[in-house]
Amino acid sequence: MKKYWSIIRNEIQRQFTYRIAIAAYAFGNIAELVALAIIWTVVYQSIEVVKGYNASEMISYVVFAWFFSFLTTTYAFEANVARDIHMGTLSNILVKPMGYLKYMMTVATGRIFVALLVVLIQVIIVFYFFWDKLIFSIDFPTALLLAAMLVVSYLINLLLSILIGFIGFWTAEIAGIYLALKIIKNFLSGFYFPINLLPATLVKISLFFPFAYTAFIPIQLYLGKISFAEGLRGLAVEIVWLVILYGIIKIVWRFGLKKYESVGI
Amino acid sequence: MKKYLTVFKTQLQHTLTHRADFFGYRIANIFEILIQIVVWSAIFGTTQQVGGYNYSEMITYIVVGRAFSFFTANFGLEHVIARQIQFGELSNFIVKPMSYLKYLVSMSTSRSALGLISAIITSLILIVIFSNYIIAPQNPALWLLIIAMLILGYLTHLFITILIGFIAFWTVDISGIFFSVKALEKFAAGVYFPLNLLPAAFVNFSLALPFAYTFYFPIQLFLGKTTIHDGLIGLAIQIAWLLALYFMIKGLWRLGLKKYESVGI
Repeated sequence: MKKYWSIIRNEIQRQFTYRIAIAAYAFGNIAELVALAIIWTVVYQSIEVVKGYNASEMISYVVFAWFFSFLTTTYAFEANVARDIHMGTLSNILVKPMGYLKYMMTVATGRIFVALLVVLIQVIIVFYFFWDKLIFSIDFPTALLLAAMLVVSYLINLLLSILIGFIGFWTAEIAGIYLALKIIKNFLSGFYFPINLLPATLVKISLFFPFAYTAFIPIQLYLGKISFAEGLRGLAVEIVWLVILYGIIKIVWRFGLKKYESVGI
Repeated sequence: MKKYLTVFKTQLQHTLTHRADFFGYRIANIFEILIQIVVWSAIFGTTQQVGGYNYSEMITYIVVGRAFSFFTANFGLEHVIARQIQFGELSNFIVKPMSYLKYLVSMSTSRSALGLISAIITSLILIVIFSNYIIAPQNPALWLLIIAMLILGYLTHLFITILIGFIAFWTVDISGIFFSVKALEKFAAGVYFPLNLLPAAFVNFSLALPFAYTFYFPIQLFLGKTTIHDGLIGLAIQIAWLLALYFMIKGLWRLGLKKYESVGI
């Protein structure tokens, strides 16, 4: 256990070296939220309800979607995974007495620390601005369930990042592919809007993927739009996906390692 | 002139090498548009007008606006510039009988040419899909004005990008700054939503800045919400900004070169 703690500590120190650079992302991170909040504020001046959401529910939706997604994001960890592969630094990890997946998950967890601090400061400012429009009401069991969902969401995002990063075994230029996958993921997860704005069949399809369970379902639970039992079902689906992703990673890893040539060493 | 043509051709081949990556960006763009269309379709399901826009006008704003932003895009050139400064590659250009600024303009135009072809294809597909909702101006003079604004808009973007790229003379950690500046630029240009959803004071403020003339303003012309007369004034403001940016680049280049240490050579 101690070795994992050292890795986390190292990463936190590394992040503090780049504190200004990390904080610099904050202005851009919040631009989309501000844009969405403006659109919905203007819209609700003339309408009462859009697809079952009233003004405070919708503003709460976009604010909490933003908050939850920044709590569970891996901050493009796939780029790190791919860089290790491309630069050959993966070899360093291979010779360590520690499994790759465990090592990378520990690094990723230490890595988000500073960004998380920035997000917490940002969210306090956001809450302050939208205070009278936000819905704050949650009972203890729901809070517990929500916390569990967010932790599993983070793990799902992490495994997805690692899996996407493994594309680096097969191809060199990846930024475009990442961006496409990220936007599709945000689309299906309900990051920008409640997915029930989509046609009913698309909603059903998206509930088969893990993405909706990382943003849409937790927020529905928070807003009281789904019951506690449905929330538990969501958590169960998340855990099933986590296991599936783990299995896929194990397989892709084995194939990828055969392709790996340790270029750059 | 011929040497700049060679730069153009080399860059074209470079981009074609990484075509899968390139394709990824286009998929991401399509999903970005879909996100906006889903949100606005849901809103217009319950109301006829938002901020003076009806449904057709809003869809035109999004789809045609996206086509405009492709025309004026330079696809992350600031990272290329920063890399050349930080890896010392800039030294290669300084000793060449070619001005760096002219090199950047011809290289970027080549990068954008390919982007343009794929953008035209994506835009055409979208325009065909939404052809029932697209409103197009009939007046040829208006088209000419819009095309002139887009060409100047391309140059405005390019100059702003070069300015941002030059930040790399002074600091190493730039991706966060780039990310935030780009997001704010998009916001002020009206990419996320039509600027006139905001209070008039903000609209006037953004019309004094160069950004709105690369996106919001040409679309207002396209939708017939701005007269040709006002459009010509807009064009004049755009030209004034272009000149101002040019001199800012010249000034910053001189200062930056004094800082430049050719690290990495």
